[in-house]
Amino acid sequence: MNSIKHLFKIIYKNKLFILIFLTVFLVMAFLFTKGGASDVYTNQQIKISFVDRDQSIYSQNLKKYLEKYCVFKEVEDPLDEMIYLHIDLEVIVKENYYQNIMNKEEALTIQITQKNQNSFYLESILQKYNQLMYSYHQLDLGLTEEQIYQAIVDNLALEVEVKVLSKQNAALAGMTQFHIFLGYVVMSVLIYIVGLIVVVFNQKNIKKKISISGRVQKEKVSVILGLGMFSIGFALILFIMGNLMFINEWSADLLLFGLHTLILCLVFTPISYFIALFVKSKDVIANISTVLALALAFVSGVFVPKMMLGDGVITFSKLFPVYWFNELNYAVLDQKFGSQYFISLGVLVFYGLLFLGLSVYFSKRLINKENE
Amino acid sequence: MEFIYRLKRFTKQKEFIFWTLVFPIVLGTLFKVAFGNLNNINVLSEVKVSIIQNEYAEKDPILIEILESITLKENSPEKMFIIDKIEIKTEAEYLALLDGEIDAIIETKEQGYNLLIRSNDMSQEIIKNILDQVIQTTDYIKTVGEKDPTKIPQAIELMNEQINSIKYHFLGKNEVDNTIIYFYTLIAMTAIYACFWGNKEIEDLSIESSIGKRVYVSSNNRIKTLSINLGCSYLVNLVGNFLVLLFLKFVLGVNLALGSTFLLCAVGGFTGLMLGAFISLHVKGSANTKQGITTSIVMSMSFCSGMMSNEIKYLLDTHAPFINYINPVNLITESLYQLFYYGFNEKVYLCISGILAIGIVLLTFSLIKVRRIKL
Repeated sequence: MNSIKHLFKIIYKNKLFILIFLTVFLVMAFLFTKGGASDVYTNQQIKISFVDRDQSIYSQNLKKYLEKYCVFKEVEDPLDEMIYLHIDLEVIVKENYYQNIMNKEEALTIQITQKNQNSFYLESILQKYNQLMYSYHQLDLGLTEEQIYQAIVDNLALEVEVKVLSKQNAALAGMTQFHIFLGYVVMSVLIYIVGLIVVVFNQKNIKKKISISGRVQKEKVSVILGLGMFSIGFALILFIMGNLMFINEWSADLLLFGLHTLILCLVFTPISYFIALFVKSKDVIANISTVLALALAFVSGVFVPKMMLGDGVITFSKLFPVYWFNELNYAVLDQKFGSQYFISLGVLVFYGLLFLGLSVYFSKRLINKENE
Repeated sequence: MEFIYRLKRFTKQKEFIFWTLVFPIVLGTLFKVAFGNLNNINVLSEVKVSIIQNEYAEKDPILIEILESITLKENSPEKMFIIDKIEIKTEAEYLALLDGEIDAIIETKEQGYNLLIRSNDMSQEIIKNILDQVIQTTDYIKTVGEKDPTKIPQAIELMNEQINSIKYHFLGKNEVDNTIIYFYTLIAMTAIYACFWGNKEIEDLSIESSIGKRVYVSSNNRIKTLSINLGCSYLVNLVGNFLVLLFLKFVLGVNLALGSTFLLCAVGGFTGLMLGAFISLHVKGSANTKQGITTSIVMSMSFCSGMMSNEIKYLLDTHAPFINYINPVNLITESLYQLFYYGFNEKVYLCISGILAIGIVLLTFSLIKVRRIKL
């Protein structure tokens, strides 16, 4: 059992580094977590800059009407504000707004960087308003300007009933995002720490000491036990952090997320062990941990939602355990625990067992090679 | 002579070659692969709608006509809505449908519609807006009828007239590219990676290292040796940065102006080098710990600049701009962003001054420490 003591000594020796690593990643995870979908339907509000060059009752009424759909922001440089997503677009009401509408000429300019869903949405809202304004004025029903505006607003106030069927809510979406990001944290920390331990234990002098003690098998088991204990402890820390972060919105789903994180930790322990078998330097392990964690996180949709990845990338990412870990977390978000959930769970466990087998096989092979 | 000897030594530093060259190239390639689809996300695309067949739907063919008449672009044959008719009733069946390929389900009522959606997003908002238009137009005709029933035909005619009162104006020097920020953060991070060279130079001159011992017993001035070593590291890092820029521009096709980007790398490299030296001089611990801390700091700075999610950068810009002002990775990213949209402007000069100022502050503190301690 000396190995287990030595293992925890290595961890203790690197405590400062582990603490910094963990703090940095957890702060990242905290920042990364944002609100998600809601089960209550709300009108999407677009952030716009509204420039009124007409300053008439007509343009003021238009602005009043838009208040339901937009959040107004005053900006100096619209492009700058669009680049930093402070506004989605800018609406400019040209001089002689009313006259231009009546003459079917350009009355409004939408300034954007790229045509998108927001611009299309606002365009249709503005178009409806302008069309009704044009029609009511052309009809000459003997209404005052205020009455026409009221009629337009009353017509446009009628809306279809919207029912959101999803069980998703903002807190659950936040929890999912946080736990998906933990995939990156688990990979970064485990590859580095487990790798570091394996590299130290693979040093010739330590190997010799173990060999001389005559308890090779026992010490090997104790290393594996120690690594298992470390990864369970690490998963527990992450679980506590997750619970603390969502203490106000606590739900039983957090237990499931915690279970997924624990499984990922247990899967990445043999993977990290396997990688470290072929590495001799601590520095190289640090490099591998940074590159591999970032690469797998990018490809598996940790940083970017799955829908934003191309089909080819998604197919490729299915080769990696993090993809299946994400699928498990998305299943909690959608509250769908059908066969797909258990397939993801099975694939993840399969990866753990596969790398456990590979690690045992290659570790034996390397020892045999050295003995020869 | 010392400079050339030092340069030769760098060719053996595989680890630093990795950070300066291999890592940015691998990451850049990954960005290209992973974000290939990002530019198409917010662009208008087809919307798949199912209409529930009931007695009211049969009496309301106008809805399908309107939906079918909407195209993705003006004068384009590509239709925005792909319409399907369904005959199901349970909520579970609706949900299963929305989980698949369908974006929304429309149920026709005696008056108006029900819209069933899975989540509250903009593409479903567009469908809602079109359905609204149908009931709003009906209400408008009703209003006109209440005032003067003889004007109903004219009212319908007027609603069909195209008034084209809205025009688009596109801003910026270049078309928006949602992926560009990731590459710009990568370039910034690569420039700041000079900090690993800074780490190494201080460690090499430490009395505990074999090189440090030799320098210590020689007659060479320590500050002079350190300056030569740092200068050499700076040069090697700059060459590495240039190669990365060539790869990004010509192999991955990233839109960047080589000259100005290289200038930013040069400024960023200086600050990075000073950051590494500062950490090595002020943090107690092994070389590994110092390198680990440096990695954590650079990764955090890159994260805050939007490398993993550009929303983080905007979040900090809005709620904690100070963090972004003192983050050299962000200042480089910001400059590149400004160059992309505007070209050289006041903000770029301000950012360059900021990066240099941070570098000078770190240099000053490092010099004070170097003079006080035996390296």
